[in-house]
Amino acid sequence: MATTTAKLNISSADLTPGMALNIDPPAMTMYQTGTTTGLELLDMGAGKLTQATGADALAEALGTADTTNYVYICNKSTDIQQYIKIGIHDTLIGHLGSEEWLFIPWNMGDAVAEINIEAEDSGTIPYEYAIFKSTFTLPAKT
Amino acid sequence: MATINTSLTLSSGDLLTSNLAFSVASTLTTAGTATTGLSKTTGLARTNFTNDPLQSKLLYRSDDALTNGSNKVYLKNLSIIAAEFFTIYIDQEEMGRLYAGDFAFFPWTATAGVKETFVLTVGGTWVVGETLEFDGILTTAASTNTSGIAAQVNGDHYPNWTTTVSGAVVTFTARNSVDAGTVVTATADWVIVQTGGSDATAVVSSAAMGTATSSDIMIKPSVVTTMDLEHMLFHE
Repeated sequence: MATTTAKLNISSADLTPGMALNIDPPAMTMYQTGTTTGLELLDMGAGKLTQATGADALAEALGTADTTNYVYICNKSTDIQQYIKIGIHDTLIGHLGSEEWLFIPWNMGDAVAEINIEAEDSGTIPYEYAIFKSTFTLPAKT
Repeated sequence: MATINTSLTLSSGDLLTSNLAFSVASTLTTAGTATTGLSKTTGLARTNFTNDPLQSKLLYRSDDALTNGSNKVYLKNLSIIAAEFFTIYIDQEEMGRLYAGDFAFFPWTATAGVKETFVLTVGGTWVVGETLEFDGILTTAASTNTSGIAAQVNGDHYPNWTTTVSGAVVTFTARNSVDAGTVVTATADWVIVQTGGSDATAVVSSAAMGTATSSDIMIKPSVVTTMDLEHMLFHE
């Protein structure tokens, strides 16, 4: 088994007066569903997303339902007007601004739970991503 | 404006043949700006989930943040029992399961709905001491003047409504966006207790139905025994 960790830090000296913020939890190890066995499936890459009229699927829900999976996405654009819409199927989660990142759990609960991304508001946005999975089913050959 | 720095490091020495090690960092700013930091927050909080039967909790309402703003959500499951998890929902869509010790950090559009509104006109002839009741709040007329009574209504604090007043007309706006179906607030929802044969009235007009938000964040624990969630919202 592999040991893969994610370490988060959120800090601010001036968000709340008189109380500096420092969220600095211990690194979390990414385990297979409900166990202490490390995840061993990884899909990662980088690409460029061009503004279009609709979203594209970054990852299809091809794993087993109700399992542990984690998604990291980073908008690598330095243009502050460029953001990426992040969604799960028909639900918009949020706008990932330039140089921002996200890290979320993802339940590939059913076939309509794909992670989708859409570039806004114009041009081409470079991005990188990593998806850590408990299980994965390769698509059937065509 | 505040300066909020975030960073994430993903690493593994044995997942791949080559070490996996990369880090990202960003400073949270308002949408479309490079230097204006987010300055609003709910504060860092810890919420306990102990309920039987299992029920979800509404963690953040879309009404609490700016729609399409550069809002960010931090969540962490404080459980130390590996099998315990929180399920995160955005509206009705399940995002994923946050197992013991796991955290999440993500942007949030906070897509707002529409808040129901209605207009109440205080009219007729009032007698001091007559009452009108709505939303659990009882107002006792301190004068016979309709504008004065409207001002009293406006001065009350309704659990589910905010108000503004102009003369004898009070405009009510729901505190939260809710889809009430086909039912809107009507005159009959106001209870007037008259004395002395007066013809006091409080008439609702111009009621406009609300619509539900579409990205409230709801959290459901996996067990009925106690589980704690640490969370924080940074928002515009």
